[in-house]
Amino acid sequence: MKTIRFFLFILCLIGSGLYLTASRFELLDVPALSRGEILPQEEWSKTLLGKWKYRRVFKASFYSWVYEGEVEYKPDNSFSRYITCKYYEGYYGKISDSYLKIIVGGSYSGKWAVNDTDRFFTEVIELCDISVGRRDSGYEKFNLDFCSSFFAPRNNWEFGDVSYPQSKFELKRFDNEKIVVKGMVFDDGASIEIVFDRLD
Amino acid sequence: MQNTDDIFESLGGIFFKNLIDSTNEKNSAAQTRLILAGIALLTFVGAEAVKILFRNNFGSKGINLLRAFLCLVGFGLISAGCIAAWFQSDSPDLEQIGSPKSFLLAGIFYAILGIYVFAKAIVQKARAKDLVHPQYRGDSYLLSFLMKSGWSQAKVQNLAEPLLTLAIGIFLTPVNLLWGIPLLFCALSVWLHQLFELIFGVSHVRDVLAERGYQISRENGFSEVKH
Repeated sequence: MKTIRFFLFILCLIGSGLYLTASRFELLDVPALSRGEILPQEEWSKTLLGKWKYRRVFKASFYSWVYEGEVEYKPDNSFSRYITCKYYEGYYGKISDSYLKIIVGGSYSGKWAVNDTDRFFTEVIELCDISVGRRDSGYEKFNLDFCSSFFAPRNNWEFGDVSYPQSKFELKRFDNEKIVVKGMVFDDGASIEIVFDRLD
Repeated sequence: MQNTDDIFESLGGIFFKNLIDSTNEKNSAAQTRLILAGIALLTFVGAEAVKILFRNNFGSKGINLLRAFLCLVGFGLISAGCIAAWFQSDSPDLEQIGSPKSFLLAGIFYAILGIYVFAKAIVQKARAKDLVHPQYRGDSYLLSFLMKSGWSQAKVQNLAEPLLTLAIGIFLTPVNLLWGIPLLFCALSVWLHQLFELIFGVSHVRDVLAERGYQISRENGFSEVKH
């Protein structure tokens, strides 16, 4: 009897392990248990409200940009974001202080909206106040006036399933806890990961 | 017939010889030999972990403290990796391996496992009796209920112990790859280890000892079994 119980226990462990593995790595048509889900677009506006930790990692062959900070989406469709942008120069994916060359940071704000048709939401920048915190020697030629380039007023930032001539992004997760977007920038051969983690 | 410790030492010799040779980037044969010897050594370490975990009473020569120490180092490294990953848990790459909490739990699990295996090896070595045959693989106490149901000790050691480790490994793999895969490796190591023993002619002796050792220990304690 104990032998039968032992083998039943083994079978349960192996069976549930295989089922969970299949689910986790989407090998079978079973619901994913750990990857999170993409909520219906009608729920996005409600879900987005509140504070999120934000991290955007851009990795090219010889350099990386990491944007980190906090964003708050408010009910009146305005948003405000604090951000630190760090530039690292080193082989693919080297993101540590020894490779850090530039730090730029500050805040910007504007309006946000969920797109009605396609699966993405947009930030339109209205005000920007970003300044250079650190610039190593040899990087004087970099245009670090982010308020007139990346975060210039009237610029749009789109998060979700979006395609541009030189880049393509895919929404991987959108739920109450986390938003994940992954993409490729083809002219740089770079990968991008954007992660929002709920703060409150 | 070669002793398992002799095979382990020869593999160690091959590993360190090729470690030096493989510093020459053009010597790909040495690099391949290094990897194969490394994997073979790890199977010995994995099998040792399962052995110490499930069994008692190995005799003075039945426990290899170097392999037990390598278990501590191996599990310690896995534990340190898990804890480091827990600190970096906001990385989307790591999320593919496991959730932040699972990294922490796996780190604690392997730290305890490594310390337990090494501490038990030291205690067992200190308590060891010289009468036990050096090839005896120990008393399977954790799954002894199977022997009461009619299983032979050799069957428990060859099948039940690695199978249970494998099942736990399969169960934990989806929770965290770093948690499950080392256990899968340990379970497979036991079977690979048995294959080595079969090749080097030790397997049959050990199976016989497992049977007789168990029967004798019930009545008279251990005595050396001639084969």
